[in-house]
Amino acid sequence: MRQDDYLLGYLAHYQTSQRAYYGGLLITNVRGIPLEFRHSEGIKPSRLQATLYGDSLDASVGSDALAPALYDALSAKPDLLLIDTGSRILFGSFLHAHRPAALLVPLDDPDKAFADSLSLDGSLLQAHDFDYKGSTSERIYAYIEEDHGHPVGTSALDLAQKTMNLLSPFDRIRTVLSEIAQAEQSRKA
Amino acid sequence: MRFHAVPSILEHRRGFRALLLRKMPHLWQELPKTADLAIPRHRTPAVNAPDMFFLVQSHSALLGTFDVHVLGTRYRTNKNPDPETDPQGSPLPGALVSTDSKTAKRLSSYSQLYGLLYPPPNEVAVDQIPRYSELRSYQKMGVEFLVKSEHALLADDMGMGKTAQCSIAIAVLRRSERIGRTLIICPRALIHQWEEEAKQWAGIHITTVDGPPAIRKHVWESSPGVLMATPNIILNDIEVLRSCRFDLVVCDDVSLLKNDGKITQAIRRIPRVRSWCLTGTPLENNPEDIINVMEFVFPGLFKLPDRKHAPSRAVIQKKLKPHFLRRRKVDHLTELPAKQSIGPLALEMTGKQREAYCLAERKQWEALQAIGIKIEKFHIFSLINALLQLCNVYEPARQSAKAEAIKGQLADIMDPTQPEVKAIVFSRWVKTLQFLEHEFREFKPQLYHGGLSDNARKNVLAKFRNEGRLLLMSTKAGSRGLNLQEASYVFHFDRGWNPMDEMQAEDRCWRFGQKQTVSVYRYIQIGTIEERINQVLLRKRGQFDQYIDSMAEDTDSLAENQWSLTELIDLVRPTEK
Repeated sequence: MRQDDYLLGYLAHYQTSQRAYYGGLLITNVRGIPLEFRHSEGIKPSRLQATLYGDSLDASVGSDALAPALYDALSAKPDLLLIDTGSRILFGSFLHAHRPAALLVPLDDPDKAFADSLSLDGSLLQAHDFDYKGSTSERIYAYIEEDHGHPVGTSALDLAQKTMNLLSPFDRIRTVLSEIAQAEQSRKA
Repeated sequence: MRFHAVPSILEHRRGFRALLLRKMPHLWQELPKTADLAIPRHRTPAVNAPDMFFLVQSHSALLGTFDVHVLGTRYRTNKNPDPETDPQGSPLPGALVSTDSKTAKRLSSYSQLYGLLYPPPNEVAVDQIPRYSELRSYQKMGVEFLVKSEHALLADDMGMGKTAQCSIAIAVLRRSERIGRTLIICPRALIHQWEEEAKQWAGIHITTVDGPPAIRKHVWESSPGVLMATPNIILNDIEVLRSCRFDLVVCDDVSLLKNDGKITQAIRRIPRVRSWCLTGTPLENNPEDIINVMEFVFPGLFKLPDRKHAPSRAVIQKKLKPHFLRRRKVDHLTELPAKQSIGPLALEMTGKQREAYCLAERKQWEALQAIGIKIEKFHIFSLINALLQLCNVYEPARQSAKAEAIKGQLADIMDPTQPEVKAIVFSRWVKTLQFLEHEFREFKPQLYHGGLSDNARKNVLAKFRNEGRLLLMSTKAGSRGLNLQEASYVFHFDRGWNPMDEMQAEDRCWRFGQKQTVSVYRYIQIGTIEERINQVLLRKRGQFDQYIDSMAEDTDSLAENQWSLTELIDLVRPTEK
């Protein structure tokens, strides 16, 4: 595999005020250029589902419904799946089953950072430090789940940090999802 | 509390969920429907993307059907209308029909949102386009507007940096791998300036398409980067161009797009995805002109009959709004020194110049009368031009009241103690400029007109900027697009038919970067056709907003559209003594 062939898969969700979940999976190259984007229809758990799942409803919606639907529909699978703290509860389990994967955390807000290590659904992950493009003072921590003998995730992020802002695709996905959610809502209205 | 303490709770929850799923595996009846936002790709690799490992054809109203290949999977979209055969059809790209359920089809209709998935301009520019940070906030907004828009009319006032904004927007799109082949159409006079500004602001190398047809054909067919050509070259090469595809076509001389001429039609026929126009022409003026321009920017936005009879202003503005951006100097360049308009100063011809003028006026009038009722507008044009040139100078006797007046003023302002003061004299006629070159020789003037080669023009401007103090410039060749902030005095040696030309000429100096007050002088000869033209212009000043843009660039279209035969005859009627 050539070094610049890494595909990064950004997984994020958007929740409306009516508790409908929209999921989005954006595939970019290491320059942050979008190559493929899949989004889901909005799913609104029923009262029965909400009651049965309780606190684990978010995790189930994300990892049992949204993420598999999006991931399976991709034309080409990413070399590294990425989530941020906003979607950690939803997609944490899914990432655990689809290594290599990583949780990206900006260090601008100390509450969002997880110090040197983080356990993502059972694995104790070491923090890797990356550049925050466009910021001279801030850094990004990445908690990467991967095979240590074959550190694809680390290599991909190491390459990508030089040419793109590792975090901005999450915002872009959420912007698109919120637009879709609004359009869906106004269509229904 | 350390976060690695959290997993035990998560483990517990996961266990509970797993238990639930074992009991009720179909709690989520089926996975949610998903859809693909088709991300269009340019057809030619961008500078920093030499290894495209997939091909996705661009979509466009102008490219007909919309086949998309994403990493080997082929999708097909609804058929787009052909602008040639169905100019009134919806120009929006069709929605994807790649998925198999109604829900998925509906979700796919959001494909136009794909633009939001790209990195924003500031992110792309942060390392790769260093001068982006030098842009003012309104200019950054302009870049964002262009980057977002497939169909854009950037109508900022003259001198607000449209070229810089456009260059950076092109660079952002190329760095984002959203466009490849790009074509910029501009008048010959602007080519060097475009080349320099694009390089300076955005590091873009522009290839100018010029020379013999065989060489041009080769460049059209093989050059993948940013190309630049004049409108005439486009007209000559349109058959070759029809088989080319451009991701972006920028037209930086919008005035020629206002009519339905051959050049305009050729430009409209260039296959393209994005179309941008740059112009300082205000939106409010002459709605049909704007509608014609929009036929290039966004084919099919207005219906065919609208080009002749514009709909209401509200309708036009509503349709234009998403594709139109205009900012004014007074709002954004508050530090720009004032522009002072002086005149028109009334002068009186004397001696042989006066005699020659009266004689010509009388003789030509008699000739017109002999034509009688068959008189047409074009009969009057040669007379008008001859009289206007006589108002400038009577060549045999080398007499010119205006030249004498301006010479006196130049002597005052070109004081050796103020070496930084520079002036430009505009005239419509090269012959007049050549006369002035001799008359004003003590000021060592530079002469700039359309007859000069590209290199000669470049040298003239460089010389004027570096060491020259006086530039004699043809209004037609030099009034649009150039940056000449070095000069702070402008003399209009003769009055144009088109007030917009005069404003354009003045704004070569009165623009971003000007540090001194710009003084603009106008002159008219008393008792001549100039005085009458000026009166007509003043009379029509009340409707200036509608009028200013509607006046065409040349006398032919002027006569066709804006001046009645009676008005023209009145202009050349000899003054009664």
